[in-house]
Amino acid sequence: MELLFQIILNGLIWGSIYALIAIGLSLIWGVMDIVNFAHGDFLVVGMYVAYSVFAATQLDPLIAAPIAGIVLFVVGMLTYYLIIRRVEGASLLIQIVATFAVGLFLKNLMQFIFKTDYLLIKDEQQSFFSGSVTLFGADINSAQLATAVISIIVAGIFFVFVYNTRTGRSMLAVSENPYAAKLMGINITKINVIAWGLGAAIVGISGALLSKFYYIFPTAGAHFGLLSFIIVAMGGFKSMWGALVAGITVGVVEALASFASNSSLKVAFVFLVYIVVVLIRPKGFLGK
Amino acid sequence: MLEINNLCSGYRGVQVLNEVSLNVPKGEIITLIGANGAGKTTMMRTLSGTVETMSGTILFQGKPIEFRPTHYRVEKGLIHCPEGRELFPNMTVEENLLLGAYTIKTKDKIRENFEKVYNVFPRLYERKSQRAGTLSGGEQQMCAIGRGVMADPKLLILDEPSLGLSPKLTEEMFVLIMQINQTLKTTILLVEQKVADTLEIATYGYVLQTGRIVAEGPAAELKNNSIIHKAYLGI
Repeated sequence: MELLFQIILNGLIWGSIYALIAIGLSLIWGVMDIVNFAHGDFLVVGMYVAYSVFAATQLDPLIAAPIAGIVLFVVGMLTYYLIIRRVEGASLLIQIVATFAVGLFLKNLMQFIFKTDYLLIKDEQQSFFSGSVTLFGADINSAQLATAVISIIVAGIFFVFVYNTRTGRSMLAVSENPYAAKLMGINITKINVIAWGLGAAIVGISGALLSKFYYIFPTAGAHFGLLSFIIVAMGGFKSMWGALVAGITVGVVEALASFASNSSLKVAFVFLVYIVVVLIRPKGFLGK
Repeated sequence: MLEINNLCSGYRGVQVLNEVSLNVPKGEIITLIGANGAGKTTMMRTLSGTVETMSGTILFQGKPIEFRPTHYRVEKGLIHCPEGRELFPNMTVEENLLLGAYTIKTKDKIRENFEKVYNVFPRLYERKSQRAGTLSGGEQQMCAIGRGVMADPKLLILDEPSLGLSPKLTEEMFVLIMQINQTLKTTILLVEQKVADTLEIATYGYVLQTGRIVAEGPAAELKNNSIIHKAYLGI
């Protein structure tokens, strides 16, 4: 029983960061109806930002996460302004190819700057978030716990922004009915820029958080990108709450699966659960 | 208030409107009537800027706006309530109305506008916490017009407010439109297919046929116009 609790707690921790990654994708998808195939690459850029900050200043990635957020906010805005703006209203295929190209570009840019080596942030002095804490009888790595807490705080701030500010509400309006939103006097281009900036910033923060635990290499985003597509589809397109719920679900499924069978099979179980969910609820948990 | 000269517009190279000229004086209800496919909706979209102007001018309060983006026109007080209501279905009535006041900056003014709207449409007040998508057709139309009023319109463009409403509700809707014009002093450009009712409340009317104005005149005269009789009143 205690072991099960430990596993689920672990799942919740990873789930919260998956949710954060997926919320960024869901936002752009919802506001613009564009699937961002560069999402995983945004994540990798976030990881490299955290790595560079650590290499230069020894600052822990969990503390440097806001810096990755700011850098990716700019990357997201530039992506919209330079590329996406030109394919607005074009066919879905053209938009997919455009975002895919952005992803390829970023991947190769990272490869050019940092080479293909697997990098790892090794905090020799163990200055931050070392050791573990005991929570209701379960042992939790304190860095992981801090990551989960930061993920939840960032997601919380994001939701407060979306539902309680004028800009946030206009994002929801554009997401529900872009034509009507335009007639309300909302400057759609401005909202799109902000959505891309915010979506990228959130995934950049996630990347910085992940860099504490994962090897960093140019194609590291592929796995997480794919996972976040699954999460968004499972949660329900355009529903950011759905992304939150589905992200945590995926984390727990992964943890249970790697305990019950083999950790290399955990992704297969995630896909299995995904298939079952969309068979029962084709629009996902909270899809409308 | 609004002066349109030789306006041409359309979609992706297909011209729909051909040299349309029209004038909406302050404080009046002007109507644009025409059959399906005459170009009425294209005309309204061109005025709000969701369809691009090809040539011609649109003067709003004396200033050219034909190349200004939609949000600029909304800020200046040109509000377009589109055909088919176009509400935000998953938001509540109140949230819909609040978005209507997007260009209003002060909280007091927004509160005042809420009162205005709830005064004209008490039904919306009863339904304020309900999701807009679950309202009846008539209530949805009230919500769409109310959302327009929230923006403090100088000119309110209503595109087929009677669409999908029963004859009784249509009549009520026309009374409400008249009320908005009289009590709130809002100038209205009303686009309709229900010609007889529309000419009852409008002061002046234009008839659009395949992208051109084919007749115009004071509403009372248009009622007796032979083109209109034949084409729209079926008498």
